[in-house]
Amino acid sequence: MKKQTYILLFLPLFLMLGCNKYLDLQSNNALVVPKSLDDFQKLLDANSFINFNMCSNGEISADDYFLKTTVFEQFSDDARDLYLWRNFNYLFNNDWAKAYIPIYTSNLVLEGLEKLAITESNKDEFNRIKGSALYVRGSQLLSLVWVFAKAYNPNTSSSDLGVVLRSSSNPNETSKRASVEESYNFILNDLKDAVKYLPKVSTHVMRPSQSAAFASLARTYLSMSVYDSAYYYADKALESNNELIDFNQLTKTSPYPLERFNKETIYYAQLAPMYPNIHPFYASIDTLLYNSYHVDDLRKDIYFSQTGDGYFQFKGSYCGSIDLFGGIATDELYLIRAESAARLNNISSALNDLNTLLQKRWITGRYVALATDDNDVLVNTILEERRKELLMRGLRWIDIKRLNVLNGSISIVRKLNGETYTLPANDNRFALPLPQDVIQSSGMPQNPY
Amino acid sequence: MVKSILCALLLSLFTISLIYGQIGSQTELSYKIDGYVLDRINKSPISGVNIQSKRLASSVQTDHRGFFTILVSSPIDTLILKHIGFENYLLPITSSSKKPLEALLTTSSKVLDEVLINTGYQQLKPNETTGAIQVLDEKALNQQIGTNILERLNNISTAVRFDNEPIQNTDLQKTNISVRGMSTINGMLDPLIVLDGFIYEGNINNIDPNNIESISILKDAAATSIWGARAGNGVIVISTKKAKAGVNNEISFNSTFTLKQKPALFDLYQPNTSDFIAVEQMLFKSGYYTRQLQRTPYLAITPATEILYQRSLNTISSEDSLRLMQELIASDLKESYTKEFLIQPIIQQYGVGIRGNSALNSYNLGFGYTNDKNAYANYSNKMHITAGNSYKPFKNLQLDLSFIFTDQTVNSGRLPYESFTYGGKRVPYGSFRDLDGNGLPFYNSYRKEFIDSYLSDYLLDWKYYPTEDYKHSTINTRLNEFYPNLRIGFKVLPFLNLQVAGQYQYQKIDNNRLHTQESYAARLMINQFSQVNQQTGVVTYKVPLGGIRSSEKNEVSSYTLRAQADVDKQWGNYRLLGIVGAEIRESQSNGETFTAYGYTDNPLKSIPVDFVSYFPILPTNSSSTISGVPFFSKTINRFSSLYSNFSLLYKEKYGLSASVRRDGANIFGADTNDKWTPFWSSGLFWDITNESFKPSVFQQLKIRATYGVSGNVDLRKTALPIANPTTGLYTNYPALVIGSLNDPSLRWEKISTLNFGVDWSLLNNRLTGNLDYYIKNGNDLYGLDIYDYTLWGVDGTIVKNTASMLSKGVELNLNSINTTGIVQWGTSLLFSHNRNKTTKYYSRYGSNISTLLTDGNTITPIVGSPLYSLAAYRWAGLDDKGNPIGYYQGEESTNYNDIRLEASSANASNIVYLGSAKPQYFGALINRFDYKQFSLSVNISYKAGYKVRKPVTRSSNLYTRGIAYPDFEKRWQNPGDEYLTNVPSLLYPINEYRDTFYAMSEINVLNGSHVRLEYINLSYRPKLKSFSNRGFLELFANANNLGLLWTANDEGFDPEYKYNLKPQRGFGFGFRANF
Repeated sequence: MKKQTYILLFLPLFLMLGCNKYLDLQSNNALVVPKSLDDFQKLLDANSFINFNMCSNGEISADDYFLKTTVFEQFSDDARDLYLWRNFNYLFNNDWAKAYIPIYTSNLVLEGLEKLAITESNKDEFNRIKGSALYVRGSQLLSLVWVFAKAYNPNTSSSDLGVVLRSSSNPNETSKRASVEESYNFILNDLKDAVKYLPKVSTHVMRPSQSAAFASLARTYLSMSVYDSAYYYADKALESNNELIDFNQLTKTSPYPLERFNKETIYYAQLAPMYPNIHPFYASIDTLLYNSYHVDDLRKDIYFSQTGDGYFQFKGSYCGSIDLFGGIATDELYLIRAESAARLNNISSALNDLNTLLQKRWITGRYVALATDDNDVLVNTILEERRKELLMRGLRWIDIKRLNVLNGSISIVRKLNGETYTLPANDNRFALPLPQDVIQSSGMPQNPY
Repeated sequence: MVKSILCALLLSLFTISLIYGQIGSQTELSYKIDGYVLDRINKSPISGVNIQSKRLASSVQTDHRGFFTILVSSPIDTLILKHIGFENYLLPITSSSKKPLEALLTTSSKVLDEVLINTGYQQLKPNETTGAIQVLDEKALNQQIGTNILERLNNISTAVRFDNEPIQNTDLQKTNISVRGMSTINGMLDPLIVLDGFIYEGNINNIDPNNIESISILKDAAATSIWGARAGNGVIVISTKKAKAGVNNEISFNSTFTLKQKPALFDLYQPNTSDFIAVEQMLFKSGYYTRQLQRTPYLAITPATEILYQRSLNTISSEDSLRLMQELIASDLKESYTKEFLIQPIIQQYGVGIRGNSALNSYNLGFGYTNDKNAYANYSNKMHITAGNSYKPFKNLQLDLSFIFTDQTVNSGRLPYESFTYGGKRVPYGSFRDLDGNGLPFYNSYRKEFIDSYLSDYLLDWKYYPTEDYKHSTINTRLNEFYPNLRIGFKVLPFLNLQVAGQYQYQKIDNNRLHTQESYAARLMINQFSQVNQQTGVVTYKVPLGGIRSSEKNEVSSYTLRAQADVDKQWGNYRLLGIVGAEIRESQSNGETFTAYGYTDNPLKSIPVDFVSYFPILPTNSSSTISGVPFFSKTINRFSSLYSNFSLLYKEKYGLSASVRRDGANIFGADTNDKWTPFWSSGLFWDITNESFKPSVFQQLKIRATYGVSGNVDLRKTALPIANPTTGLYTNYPALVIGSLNDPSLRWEKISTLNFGVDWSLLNNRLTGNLDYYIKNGNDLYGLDIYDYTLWGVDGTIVKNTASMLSKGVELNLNSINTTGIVQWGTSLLFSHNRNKTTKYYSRYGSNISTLLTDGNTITPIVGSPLYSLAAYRWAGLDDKGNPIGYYQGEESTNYNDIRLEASSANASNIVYLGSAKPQYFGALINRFDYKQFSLSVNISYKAGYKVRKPVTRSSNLYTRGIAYPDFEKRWQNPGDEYLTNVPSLLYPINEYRDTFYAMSEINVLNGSHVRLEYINLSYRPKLKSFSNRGFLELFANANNLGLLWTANDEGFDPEYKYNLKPQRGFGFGFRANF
């Protein structure tokens, strides 16, 4: 009897030997655990997750548009609160959540790269991926810090609350808010590292390039009011692409006269479409702003179209669609270089950049080149043109904030149903509140309001 | 790989049989006794009778002709003949016994209906198991006449609860039934379905209910643990009618014809037309449509709004607008819809079955046909063919082969009422035809003015004609399934049977969607992708003219291979009964979809399109690619298992059982060690029936106790970050997106169950029943944890092994025969009680009853509360402006945001916990009356011990989607109304917090208890002389879904169909016959 019992016991053992192999088959060929360089590049190429999550709440809180009462009343509580700078109770899903998707992906890629060996044959690809991940993380953090922290003020930046500087994909790491100074340093480090690894030009403007990293550095420094570095990096960025679109060649009547991936685009990104406030079908362009365009300024017709109620809606997105552009284009770099030059007293350079740009924006032959040696006039003109050129790109909010650090002159006024709401210059609410559930679950301090 | 395992299995089987064969010849059994066993009454042979020599422990069984041969050691011996359902029989052997012995068995009076329990791996008699198992036979299943076998379990089983709420998460749940309540929070929720011994993952509708012999519901751990990792939610074992040895040849027929009522659209609440128009007028005046009409003037608006708009533009006179409004007020869209689209639903079911025997084999053959035409003219044709053959080529070897083949076609009918909206907004008014009977266009996406003027010389007609359109947009689905099953059993020794079994399943679903060029869908898409050059008049069709045909194919194929040894050995008073086996299983699914454009049937052709480029879409000028690029999917799940289950019985009085199973799966992203997990169970019973001191009032009394551990695995949950392939937008670069987060700490869920049970039969079997009490403990359950999404903002929550739950329950099955005599009246009471609660929930940030402010259909773990439960805001009435009042810091308040924030803080006093949102008590009362050849049964079901949240009108739903509930009519309208009603005024602009406060307040939570009349079944069996003893003819009539008899709430609100369409009443007629 015993013998047979043994054999019975062996039967399952036969199976056991085979089974681990049997279970090693991949259960779903449409799933990948990212491990290779190829996988990492693919993670960074998922552009609707990587490129389309630039924070939009800043633009929503800014003053290039207004909402008619009837439009306002249709909105959700969150969207209404955001318009009036009092969205202290909002939860998932939001700008904050979206911004950390590309940051997580970059961290996953950077950690994965550490496990791979660099060889002669994979060096270029390896560096490109590493540079891309660093760029994505840095530029995304910049968009966060512009919205959720106060503007950089050298006197208070070491104690002002910044954003969460994640550098790992570990789900168990607790979130901590860095200071504004730490945040900017981290961003600058990422972008400068990215410069080292990125190729001069990329195969597509949705992939970062060295000039994109230079451009983001220029933006970062300008928002910190560090003009020499802003000038330096804007200049570097324009080295590989300084093209400008001649607006005379665009079709004014076209629903979206500017094309997606046009020749000015250095890095293509979009604002996260979280709330309808700045959606061109809902937002009306600030009337004073619209009126400030000269009749010979082509942007008046290229950027705007009149709606049934006599107001104007925006149609000048570099996305060539209803989407709002959140990337970087050469026009912005001209204006960064011009403003930095003017503030550094390099008047001729500033004038040159400003005039070069505007010549392409006005009807051919109508633009009278600006000539002045009054630095204040020049800076103010550049700032005015900056607002007129770069509206609805997620830049106005940080511009107001940084300019208020300099001279505290811009406050925002909203009118609804006869009531007036004001956000005074340098108000605490310029650092928008973090989501309530994130505050609750992480124990991080909320922005004061 | 698979082949080599199979080879190894076969090899080992043969080795074992060889060894045993030798042993058999070595024993000294020198006297051969032949005999046969017959039923004393009808003299039919009895198979499967256990025959044992008194001197030796050896035993044999009779074959299908009732014959047996046994070897004994001495010429003088006595054989003990035992068979369930018959009295034991002693057959003395004398040396003169030369010719075959005859034994005549008498039917036992002890056991009434003998049921065989099928665990899928083993067939057991009730006195051989410790587990809690309910068996439903054909008769019980025929009490209801539905076309879905699982639906026939409704209200006739204590453990199975049907939920009439829609399924929340189709990833986790396919059927809406649960066995013994919940045992997981975020894992798979379906019980395991086993068909003829193997896991069935096909469409449950493929099983023909008329071809089912019995269903065993495995409830406790001792019963389910044999199914291992996927048995945590209970196991339902379905056995089809099989060829049987010892059964006379028979032919059976059945036919059922069911008429159903048309859906009563009246149940679907909508405000009356004038009230609805009044709201639209208010919205129009408040400027609700201003932006839409200015910025996107092409988008659809409701007919009443259109009239208001035209009037505001002064394009129609006030008199005309008044007249048009009056026409709308007088119309009724539901009525028009019912008249235009609904038809009389009819279901027809037919079946033929043949069973028979010959010397070497027994066979069965079945054919079923179902034609189901529902109220929306959606009709399906289903054909089942089943066949089985059991072949005994020589002694000790048995081959069973069977297959099920299903072929089903479904043709789409008409669109439901809810699909007729203007830009997503439902209206109560309007008509599908004008007074002359001509079909009217329905402006569901674009305004008439826009359609009439926009590029109308260049584009196709954009209008939607509902009365015609369903003829041009059709969906045809064809489903085929082939389910063969093979078993080779070899009786190596009298007590040892070895078997190799295999199952294969192939299911293919072909789904073809065709929009001909006449259809609205095709015209819409062609227009949207048209590029018009108005100077030249040239139209470029990026989506070519012609129809659009989309094809979706899904194939599921699975196989299981199993090698198993069955042992049934008796030594003296001891009997060892058990199995040991190993199994591998693979389930593969492949899918593909694609869309062809410019499609025409005749000539059969399609036109290629550019799937890559982005085209501007008319009229919005947004850009899009053409959808329908081919897509493929493939998943392969593999499992391998080792299992064993043994029972040791002593004198048929005591039983001890133990089972163990180890499961492995190819979980994606898991390490090898995490792929395996062990499960076990053990149990005991004491059958007092066989004790000498048994109280004489009992005919049967058995006590059971079991404990065991089973599990749940969700193959989607992994420890490594997993990415899904995608394509970069605009770039078309191949890309990857992280689909689930890396979490190395995820483990399998574990559920342990403790079960105590008693089975009894009293007072000459007039009072029978069983009672089970169980405690289920779930640990390491997947739970959604709110988390700091600063990590990865795709989700606001993350899945972790965060929760533990405890569920306790009682199941009582009580059957009584109340009267005997000319009218026999029997009653069955089914009672289930299930109380579950979360015992641990490691949400990092604590949880609070404010998370129970839901509709009660999502699992919300709060420690100490049932998984589905409700809380509500405390209510303080309405103020003099019609605003709802709540409490904030103990004071009355109308600051709804403050109220909300306080409610989500610890120790909030403005929110109350109200209890379970799912029935904690449920069951049915079945009364059966037999009078001569007539039999009548009535099933009344009840559910109790739970709360439901009544849906109420939310302004956002009413304004944007046109959805309201009856409270709309009681809303506050004038000062003073606050004394008469609890329904707040309607406001514009929308205040979401105010709406939510009202909807989630305690006044809208009602007691859900109710009693429902489920079905009445009347049958008649005429006595016909020409029938053999098993033959019969039965005529029956059945009425089902008969509606509520009583509700605890006094509003007459049906807690299961909350102002929604109820299942239609059905009336069925038919016959069953056996010859």
